[in-house]
Amino acid sequence: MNMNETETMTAFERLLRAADPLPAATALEAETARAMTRTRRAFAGARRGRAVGHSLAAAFSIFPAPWGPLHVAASESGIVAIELRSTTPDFVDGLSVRLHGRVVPEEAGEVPEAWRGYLDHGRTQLGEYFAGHRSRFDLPVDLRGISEWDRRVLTGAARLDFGETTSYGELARRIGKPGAARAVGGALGRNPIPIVIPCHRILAADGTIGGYGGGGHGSRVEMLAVKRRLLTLEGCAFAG
Amino acid sequence: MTTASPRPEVAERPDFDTVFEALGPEIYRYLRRQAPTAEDAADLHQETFLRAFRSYGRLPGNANVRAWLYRIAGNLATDLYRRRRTAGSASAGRLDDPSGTEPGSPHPGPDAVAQAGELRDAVRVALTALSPHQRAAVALRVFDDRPYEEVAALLDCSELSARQHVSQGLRRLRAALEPWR
Repeated sequence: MNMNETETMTAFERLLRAADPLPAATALEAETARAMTRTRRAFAGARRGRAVGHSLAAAFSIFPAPWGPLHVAASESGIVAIELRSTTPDFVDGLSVRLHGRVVPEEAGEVPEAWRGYLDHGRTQLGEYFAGHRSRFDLPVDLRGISEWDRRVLTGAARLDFGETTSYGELARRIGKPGAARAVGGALGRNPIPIVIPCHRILAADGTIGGYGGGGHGSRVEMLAVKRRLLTLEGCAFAG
Repeated sequence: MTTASPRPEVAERPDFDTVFEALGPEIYRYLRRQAPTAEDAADLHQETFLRAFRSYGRLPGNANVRAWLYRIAGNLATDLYRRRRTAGSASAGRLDDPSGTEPGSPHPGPDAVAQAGELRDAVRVALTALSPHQRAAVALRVFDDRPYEEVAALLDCSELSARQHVSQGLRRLRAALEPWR
């Protein structure tokens, strides 16, 4: 080797990078989503195995949304989860892990009347919202199992009105953590109750659409399509 | 609901589900570079988090959770290769890509690496021969192009040792990948 150490390393690093064993971004994203779902299920299994006196945690129902089925669950204190693009097993497993309890369909006999009441209100209000007849939700929410930071971000997001948007950085500033835009984005991506907690109203600083977790197992493209739809419904301006 | 308390957030350990949702994707990415197949990466991912889940409660309050997860994942990946090598060539056939790679060795010599059908396979095999720290450091620094400061934070070590892990890792990779250069 005649080249000096630094030059050789750089050329070699380039060679390594060109042979990165990681699949391309879209394929990787799909693989990651699958692996996350599988691991989540394994937790549910592990917890079921160890749980004693596994109690009823939530009841769920499936509402129609303009893009397909919407999974919604209620607990003793209100709406506890919404997933915009999910399957019933994914939704039930994920939620039972978060709540450490069983999640059953609302028709189940053991479901208390009050929980059904929350779901009924949710169904009505979400239907009105999608039809363009409602700009505020009047629903109690249950943020159990959510970290303190996520709660703080979500509470901040919940103060945005219908049709009002802001940026990740600005929301960070409003909740007293200027500079924490990325962490704000992370918390919004984990929003357990999208739409009702309007994380879709937060855009990138340059006015482009930003990201959208939106509670679900849809691909990034599908989730962004939902975010666009919600913003359009609210008459918000956004780029891209 | 308590909001604006000025306590530092570090003092508060997030619950395990929060950790999983936040770090699960990057741990998968990390494992995917090392595992022979996507299926293996998903298995390792599951095992990493199940293990972490069981001992999360006993982790010291000031522990760097991310670094801890990278370590568990790295060790499990190393174990996988070791196990498969002991299991012999009969089962090793199953792991291989159609390209006829031989990723079974924990310390693949030039032979195993040279047999790899493509440079990409050779790189993956060679990566598994590194120590978990070297591997993590190379993946983060060289492939993901993160600054040393960040690599050090992820690996819970000083910037100096992050640099050392990377340079030692690259040196070993260079030796292993000699036939490809």
